[in-house]
Order: sequence, then structure tokens, then C-alpha cells
Amino acid sequence: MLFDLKLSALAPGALLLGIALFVQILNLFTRLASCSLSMISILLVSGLILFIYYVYPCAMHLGSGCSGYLPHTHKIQICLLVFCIACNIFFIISQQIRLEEFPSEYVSLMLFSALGGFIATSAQDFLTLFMAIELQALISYILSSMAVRSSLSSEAGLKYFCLGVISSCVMLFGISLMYGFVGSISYYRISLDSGCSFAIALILTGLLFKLGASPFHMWLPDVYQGSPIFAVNVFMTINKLTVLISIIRLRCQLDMFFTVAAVSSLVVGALGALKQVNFKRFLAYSSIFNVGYILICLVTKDYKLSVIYLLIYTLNVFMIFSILASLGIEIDTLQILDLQGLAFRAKFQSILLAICLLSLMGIPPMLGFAAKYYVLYKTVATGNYYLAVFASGMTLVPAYYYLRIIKLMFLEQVTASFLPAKLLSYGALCNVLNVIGVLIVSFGWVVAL
Amino acid sequence: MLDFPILSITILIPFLAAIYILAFAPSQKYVQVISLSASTLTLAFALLLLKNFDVESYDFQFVEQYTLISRIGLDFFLGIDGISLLLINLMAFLGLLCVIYALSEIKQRVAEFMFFFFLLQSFIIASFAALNLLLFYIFFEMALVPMYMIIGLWGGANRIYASYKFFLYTLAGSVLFALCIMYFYKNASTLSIPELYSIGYELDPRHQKWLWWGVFIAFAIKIPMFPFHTWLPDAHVQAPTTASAILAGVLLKLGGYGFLRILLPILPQASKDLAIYPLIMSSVAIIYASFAAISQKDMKKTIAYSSIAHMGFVTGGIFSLSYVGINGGIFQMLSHGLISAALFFTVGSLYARVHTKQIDSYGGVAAKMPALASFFMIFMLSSIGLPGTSGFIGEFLCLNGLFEQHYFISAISAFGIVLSAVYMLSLYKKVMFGEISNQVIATIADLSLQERFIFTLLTVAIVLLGIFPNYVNKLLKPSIEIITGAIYVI
Repeated sequence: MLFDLKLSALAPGALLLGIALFVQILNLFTRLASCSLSMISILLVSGLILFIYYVYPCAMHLGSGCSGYLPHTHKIQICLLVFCIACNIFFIISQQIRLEEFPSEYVSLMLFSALGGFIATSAQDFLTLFMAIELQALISYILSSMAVRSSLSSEAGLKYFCLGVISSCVMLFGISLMYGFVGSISYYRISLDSGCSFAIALILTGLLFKLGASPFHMWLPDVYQGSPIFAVNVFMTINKLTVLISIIRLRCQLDMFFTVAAVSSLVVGALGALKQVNFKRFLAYSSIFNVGYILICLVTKDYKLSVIYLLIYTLNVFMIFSILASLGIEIDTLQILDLQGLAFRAKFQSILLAICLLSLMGIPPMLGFAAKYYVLYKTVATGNYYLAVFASGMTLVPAYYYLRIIKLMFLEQVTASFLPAKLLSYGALCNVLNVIGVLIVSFGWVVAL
Repeated sequence: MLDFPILSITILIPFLAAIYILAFAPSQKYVQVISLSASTLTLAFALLLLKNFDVESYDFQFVEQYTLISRIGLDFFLGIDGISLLLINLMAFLGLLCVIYALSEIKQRVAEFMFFFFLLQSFIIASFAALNLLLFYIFFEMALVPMYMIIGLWGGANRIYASYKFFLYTLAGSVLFALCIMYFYKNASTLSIPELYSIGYELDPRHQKWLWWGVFIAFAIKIPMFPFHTWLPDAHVQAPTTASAILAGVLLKLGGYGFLRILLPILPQASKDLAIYPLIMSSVAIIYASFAAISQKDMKKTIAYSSIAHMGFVTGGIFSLSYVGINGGIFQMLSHGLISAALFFTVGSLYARVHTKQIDSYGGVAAKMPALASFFMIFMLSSIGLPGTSGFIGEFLCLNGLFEQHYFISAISAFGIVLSAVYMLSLYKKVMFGEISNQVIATIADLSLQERFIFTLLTVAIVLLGIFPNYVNKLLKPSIEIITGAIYVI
């Protein structure tokens, strides 16, 4: 037979597709607001999480659903769970953000994006991978231009689209070159002879573009600055996770490529953020810097650590967004100087925000310090001493500008700022979530990673 | 022997006090009660450690060890020997004095100040007690944040610049130290300091030199030694008095402690080969910092530079690698802790009354504040190294130790004593004697009760150490023998 249909193995992806379509239909035909839609999605995705964790393992041994898919293993199951959990956390956080002006399609779009992640995780040949990456990319283009009243958002979407299409073309060229050299698009036929390594380099170029690594990072600051906040959340979590898992699945040995990308990401991310005044642009450069750390993990071939580092970074950024959102601050147009004197207006949230910033900086005993320490330890342990010294040296530069934000919050007086006159306190739930998140950030690493 | 975890309790008391003050936001009066009782309780436990310490034992005492994360070698491993015992007592003692002083000096947001101060105290005591390299590093770094906030929130006009400089400079050194810790764990499979003592010299000799420089620069920035000292004058001048006292009194000693605990015993061969560099840096520090102190117009900056010069004696003594020298180095650390805290409190008292630190605005204070003048005289003479005070013992032992190995460097360093007399005596004369030219001085009051109490305690401590130094030397004997044994066996 041309293909083997063992449908029960396709169940998670099919269920997620069903949920996404259901939410979209609800959105079209009822007048539910986006917070109700995200509530429904939270429930459905939680059901999916329980399904994948408890029910699905008995179907995993049945083999893959179709030829492009890998039979699901334990690791893949964990990746699927992570995507679902990330979606859920984001929906919970988005309850606090005032999103009345934005079209409510973002809920279903995010679910489709997670579906792209599902496909990319279980892909075993290049075209399936390409399909998944393109699905996510198209959704990202839509999401980034979704703030219909902002011209900055349209500009961001257009830039992302143009550059993203070029990078997809480069990736496709690499895939076709690989097919030309080897005769197959399956992962198992990847070789690293001279022509093939060029092909792999092109594929990785396309993937690193999506990840936001230097020297393919040019789109990141502009797109992050212009996109609405939920789009930035999707970019930071689901897109990066998908691309990282795909790179790991490729298992190629291009050390020099990753080292150069890592070094330039660290430099660009560290130095680029020094002069930024816009908060989201600043976060974009800090994400470039942390992608540099992830690439260092890939150089040391500790793939599990790279995913863990990305998750820890994502948690940190989620907490920052959540805390700012629970204060009612409009993150889309936030300038860093607007945070001046925040400690006088909202002391409790400022302390939580300071703990998250210290964690991003890499100060013990926070989770961010643990992540950076593990990565650097692995680098020293595998003998890349120069890389370790360079990475730890470049970590001092972000320390300066995170410290500057803490200084602005605590040590400066409140000026005529942009914060709403009465800082909303949405009640206990957001604060409880914030506190739990920050406690995880503070002490979570004592649970031995 | 006590069988409850006394070290953990000593670390936890200030930490819990800090959390309590932050969480329950008590009123002003209640904050005073809590702070005083917490610091007194910490001092009580530190003295309890002192009383139950076994002076004959060569092991670490009051040990507590639990494995935390074995993948990177982190254990919760606490234990003290003579050196850490004395430094913990110094911290507890100065902590109490600083709390008493701060309660009368800090007017705004006292609760937050106490919160940061107790956090700082807790982390520093934990650093001194930690016997796992990574645990030591974690507490070492954690102490930076409260210090940054204290300097930034309650400091002088240029405090933002000073706090950044302090934080980033020290962080840069710590990062190098972290890399060395990772190398240690990879190659020696253990991060516990007692175990590293026995296997440290087996590390790859080609790498020992780089490791030595990495660890050395981290602590050299903390002490601070000559080319890395530029953060100290700024941090001291801009910090509030209490923070300067604790910074000069205890934080600087973390660097010296790091040399003694980590650098010398774990990397003895490299220490022997490379000891000439710290010695040259020490003698340059003494001479340079003394000359810089002579030319200062700001009282606090003078004392800051004098701190650099005195710590030059400490590093000279430590890197002389002789028993007498190391003994002198540790003694000088203790004595300098007391003396510089006392000097900063003095300057703080003057500043609180006259509101300026410029020496030119002073003159004739002794007529109005005879009590302060007497105390200042005692502290100033002990800073110079007058026999009968602890300053003399410290400097004398360091120079003795240096003289055995490098008489030229010892001669240059001895000249520093003369220079310290120059700047200290001229500071005293310009501030205390002469006519009263500043009208503000005509109206000031003499010392308050808290200030008298603090100064009396400090004077008693300095004079006691100066007359009965062997109380301290007895405690240090096993520890120094371990260090010199490690070096001279190789």
C-alpha cells in the first residue's frame, strides 16, 4: 500500500486540529468575547493534555500515522505536552491583558500554531518539516499584523512576511539540494559530504532565521516592537520551541556553524539592547542573547539542556509579561523609562518584577542563574574553554541593563508617567499566579534538574 | 559539642528577620525592637560558636552536610575553622553596632534598610561558613544585590554611578571564579573544600596557572588590590555610613578569606610560583593608596584609600606564604575591620552634625566634641599602628612574615606605615584642632548615647586585641598550619 493509515496514532494532532476548528467556528457564529473563547480553549486544551498524558501512550506503539511521521516516543510525547502547556499558560495570562480591541481570532490562530509545532515535532522528513514551519510562519505573519489600528503593526507584519518568505525559500533550496545529492528527503538519509553540508547549512539558515539567531536576526527587533503582545508571546514560545526541536531532530554536526552563530548572537544581543528605549524591542534583543546561549548548548550537543534553557527563559519572560499585565500596563507601547518609580506606586509587583529581572540577569539563587550555570558548566566540561569565557564575559553586559531597569523602578522618583492613573488590581487570582510563578523562578532549581 | 545545627541557625536568624520586616511591614518602633533583638541574637549565637570551638582540632567544626544537586556538585556543606569563626564573629559584632547606628542615622524607610541589611548579614555569614565551592559562590554573589540597593537608595549624590561600578566590577570577577569552579568539578569530581585540599595539586599543571589567575582576580577585585581598586573610593564615599562600615569592615574581608580558604590550599604549586605578583601589587597598593590618601580633600575618601593601603598589608602577609605572615594577614583583617568601621562611624557622626565631608570645612571640632575627639584619637592611632592597639600587631606580623622571604618588598611596605601616619595625623589635625572657622561647628552637640556605646565597644575590642593578641592567634593555629602545610609539602 502506498501509505499505512493507523489513525489512532494521529490522535493528538487530529484532536488539536478539532479544538482549533471548534474555537474558530464558535468565534464566527457566536458573539463570545475573546476571554470566554480563551477560557473554553483552556478547558479543551487541558482535556487534550490529560489525553496525551494518560490515554495516548497505549496508541503510541501502533507506529506512525503516515509516512512523513515518526512513531511517537516518550520524548515526543513530552514535547507535545510542553506545547499544550505553553498554550494554556498563555491563555491564562491573556485573561489579564485587555484585548477588547484585537480581533478574537488570535485564540484559534494560536492553537493552529501549536498544531504546527505538533507536526514539526513528529516529522521525519524535510517536507513535513517545511509544511509545519510554513504553517507556523503564515500564522505568525497574520498575528503580527493583527492590531488593526496600528500602522506599526502592519509594518511589522509586512517586514516579517517579506523576510520570512525569503528565508523559507532558502530553506527549500537547501532541501532540494539535499534531495539532489542524496536522493531522499528523509531525515535518516542526511549525510555530511561537501555538497550535503552546504545543503544542511542552507536549511539551518532558514531555521535559525525563525529562531532569531544572529546573523539572521535583523527582523526580530522591528517585528517584536510592532506586533501586539500576544503575537510576541507566540513568537517567543511556540515558534522558538518548534524550531529548536526541529534543529535537534536534524542531529547535524556543524559545530563551527553553531559556534559562529552563538558568538554573534551573544554579541548582537548584548550590545544591541544597550540603547533601546522601547520595552518590546529591548526584549527582542534579550531574546537574541538568550538564543545565543541555546546555540552554545547545541555546540556542546546537550540537546535536553537547550530545551530546558529555552523553557526557563520562556517562563521568565512569561512572568514579566504577566506581572506587567496584572498592573494594567499597556505593554505594546511601553517605553522603559515609563517604569520609572514603579516601586512607589506598586511595591509588591515591583519586587516580583525585580526578582524576574534578577533571574534573567543570572543572579543566584534564581532559576535563570541555574540555567546559565548548567549551560556554562556543560561548555567547560566538553572542553570549549574559550567559548565559555566569552559567553560568561558577554553575560555582564545584560547585567548592566537589567540592573538599569531595577534602578529605574526602585531608585528613581515617579515622573509624569504613562501608567494609568489608578493601577488596576484584578483581584487575587492574577497575583496568586504571579507569586507562584515568581517562587518557581526563585527556588525552582532546587528540584534537581 | 552541640548537636543542633547552630551554623544554619546563625545564618537563618538575620534572614528570617529580614523576611519578617518585609512581609509584615511593622511600625517604626517595632522595627527597632526586631532589628535590635535579631542582631543581638546573631551575636549571641556567634559567641556561642566561639565558646564551643575546639582550639586543638584540625578539622572543620559544626559541620552540616546535605547533597543538593549532584549533577553540578552542589552540596549544602557548612563548617567553620578558626579563620571563619573569627570573621563570623566580626560580622555579628559589627552587625549589631551598625544596626544601633543605623536606627539613629537613617531617617527614611528604615524598615527597608533593615531588610537589606539583614539579608546582607545573612548571606555574608553563609559565605564564611560555606565549605562547598558552589555554595560559597552563590552566597558571595547574592550579597551583591542588597549592597547595591543600600548604596543606591540611601547613598550620596553620585550613588547610582557608584552602585553600578561596585556591582558590575565585582560581578565580573565572580564570573571568572564561576568558570574555575566548573573546571574544578569537571576534573576533580568534587566541590567540597576539604576534599579539594587533598586533591587540588593533582590537577593538570598547565591549567593550574590559568585557574590560579581566574580565582585570584575574583578575590583581588573584592579586597581590593591595586589595579582593581577603583570601585572602592566611589562606593565608600557615596554609601551611607552604616553601609561603608559594613563594606569596609566585612565585605572586603571576603576577598582575603577567599585567598586563604580557596586559593592557597587548593592551588599551592601555582601560588608558590606566582606569589611574586600579588606581593608587588600589595606593596604598590600600600604606597600608592597612602599617597592618594594624603592628597584627598574628602574625609571619607581619605579613609577609603587608607582601607586599600591596610588591605595591602593583608595581601602582603598572606602571599608571603609564611606562618607569621599569614597569621598577620588574618589578624590585620580583623583589626582593620574594627578600625575602619570605627573610623567610618566617626566620620559619619561628624557628617551628621556638620553635613559636609570636605576637610576644609572643619577645624576646631575638638573644642566642641571632646568625647569624639578622644575616640577619634584612639582609632586614628590604631590605624597608624601604635603598639597597644590591634593595628600594630597586624602590621607587625605581616611585615615580619614578609621580611623572611622578600626583605625588599617588606622594606617598601614598612614605609607605608610612615605614610599612614602622615595622612592620619594631618587629617586629625585639620579636623579636630585649630580654630573654628565654620559657623555650623559652633552649634554642634557632643556624642549621643548610642554613639558613645558603639565607640566604647570598638575601643575596648581594639585595645583588647592589641594587648592580648594570643586569644586570636591560638584559634588560628590549626588553620594556618593546614595552609602552610599544603604549600610546603609540594
